[in-house]
Amino acid sequence: MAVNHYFQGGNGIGNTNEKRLYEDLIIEGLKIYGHDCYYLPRTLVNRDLILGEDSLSKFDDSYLLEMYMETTEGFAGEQEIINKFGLEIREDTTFMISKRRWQDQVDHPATLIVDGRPNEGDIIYMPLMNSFFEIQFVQDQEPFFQLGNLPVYKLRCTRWEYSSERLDTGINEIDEKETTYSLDQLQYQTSLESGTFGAVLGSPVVIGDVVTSIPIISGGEGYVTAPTLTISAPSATINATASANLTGNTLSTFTITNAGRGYSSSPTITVVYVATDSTTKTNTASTPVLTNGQLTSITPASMTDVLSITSVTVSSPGSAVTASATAVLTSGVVTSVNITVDGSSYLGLSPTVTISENTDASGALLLENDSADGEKQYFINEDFALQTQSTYASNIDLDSEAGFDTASVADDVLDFTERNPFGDVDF
Amino acid sequence: MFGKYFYNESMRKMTVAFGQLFNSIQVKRVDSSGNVVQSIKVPLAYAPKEKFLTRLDQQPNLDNREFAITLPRMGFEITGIAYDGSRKLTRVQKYKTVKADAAGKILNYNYTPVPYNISYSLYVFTATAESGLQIIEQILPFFQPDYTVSIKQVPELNIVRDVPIILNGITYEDSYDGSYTNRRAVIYTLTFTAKTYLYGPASTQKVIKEVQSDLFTDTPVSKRETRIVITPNPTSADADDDFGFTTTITDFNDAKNYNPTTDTDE
Repeated sequence: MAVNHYFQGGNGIGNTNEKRLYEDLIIEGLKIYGHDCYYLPRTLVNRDLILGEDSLSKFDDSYLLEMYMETTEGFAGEQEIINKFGLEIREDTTFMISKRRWQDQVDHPATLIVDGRPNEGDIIYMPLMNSFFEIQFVQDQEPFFQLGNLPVYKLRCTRWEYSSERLDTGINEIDEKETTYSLDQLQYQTSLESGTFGAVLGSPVVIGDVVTSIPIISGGEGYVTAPTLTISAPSATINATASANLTGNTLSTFTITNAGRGYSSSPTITVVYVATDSTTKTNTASTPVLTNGQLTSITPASMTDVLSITSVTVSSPGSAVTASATAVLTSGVVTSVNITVDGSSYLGLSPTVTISENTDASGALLLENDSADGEKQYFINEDFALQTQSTYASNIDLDSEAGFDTASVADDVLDFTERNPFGDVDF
Repeated sequence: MFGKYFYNESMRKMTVAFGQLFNSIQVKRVDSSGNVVQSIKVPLAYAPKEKFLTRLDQQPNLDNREFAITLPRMGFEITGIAYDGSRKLTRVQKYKTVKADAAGKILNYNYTPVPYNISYSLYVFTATAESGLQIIEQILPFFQPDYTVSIKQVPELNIVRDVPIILNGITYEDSYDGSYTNRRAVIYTLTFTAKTYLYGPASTQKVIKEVQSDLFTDTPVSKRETRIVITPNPTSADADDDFGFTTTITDFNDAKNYNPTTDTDE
């Protein structure tokens, strides 16, 4: 005999509207009595098909959902216990969630291992208790077909046994727990940069025959005393030569036969000649014109009694002068370069400047291999905090557990002629 | 009788040595391309401890209840101490060494130690079977079935003993079956026996510089007839010097006997 259609509008007791109303009331009740919890779907990273597990599971999504804790008088389970592995919190509970709300909020094939229902292995984070729970079992048939439908899931959960799974949900409150509790040492690897502390200077700027400035490419850091700058030497100077030309008995022009180089001051032009009265005379009144340290022309002196020119001598420019410069520091950084001697005979050259090594780079590690240019390379001494293991208080390591360095005690106790073979790996 | 205080920390040192063997076990996790993306140094601790310290250490803040436990981890403990009669040695043998900073004038000595087997259990608790297998495989190949460590047992006597640590057995529990609401736990229990020795108190004695033996044809009637005196050569030698011996053998027919009280022949 079929069911009474006055009371059963098709699939089970009640009609669709009644069922909808019933579900709405349940959702309302869950919103009133429940707690805000985050549902974290598990993402399988490298599923082990042989052992049937995934050690690398990660949790990179979170969905805020209201959940009702069915155990209102505390947790089931043994609570805090001490065992061979230290403190363990065995607390079980059951969260009740609305099926429709879960499907609206969470259900998506891209985020779930199996879509359409909550997954065992997914995590629930309850901010109120600052606790993570792992879903052990999804009960979908309680209450059992009341009014002919199943409006809620009951998530049987235990407190999560955390095994350094990745938590990248974007919710800082959740993600920071990984930082605190993960034992993954690779998370605490720090990449040191290699580099130099020294300032880097550009090529000195030569205008004409002298060095006029030195550009700063980078000012370096950590200088206590200013580095010494050394500018490469100029070319040797060259003595200019010239000959004199007569027009009648008058000195009319000079011909520059060698312009020379490196004249930082006007040379003396000495003209020795035989005068019309047959005496030998000397004249030094001609005026040289210098351009960029070179003799470009000579303005002849007034000489009208010249019978013949014996010789024209241009005085020596002297030795070439090497330019020098000093670095100016501001807060340990080279901020400017003063040219103290501009030098001479730099015409046409591209001088270089070398800067003394920064020996004030305290705390940095000097690398064994210098760079190709001879500049010493350092591991840069940044202010970083290097942590090798989670700070989680106990059971972390026999050393910290014992309150002192048992490794060194063991050195006193153990007589390893080689290294400890157990896991003492280089990584 | 037993009141002379001493503490060689024999079992404590044994425990430190045992624990130290397993203090650097690693678990590595690889992605599907085989790249290592996580490297975990497995925590290790001596398991029994003050209960209040456990709670205060691991839960100093009562809001620190995020997780049930962090895995993997290992614990170990002493599970038994038993006399090992098969390694018994003569009890009057002395172990002597020159006392430090005594300029060779004083010797430390100690009598034969007693052989004891100390049983240890090492527990491995992991979240996944793979982690457990990684840990176990880093341990088992070293025990055939023993792994011998040299332990500096009594530093003042320079006694370094090779102590074999024997892997007796492994039990493995993976409680996956049953209700879905029961937690799965992968726990290995490795049982070991460390065959160590326990030393009594170290004592000191002065250096004997002269030994004299009087030989008799018959006692007590006859008088001493031959005397053998052995002294170090040179006589100024101390215990930590390189020295030989001078043996002086003297024959007597004067019908006298040695009086140890007066140190004369009478």
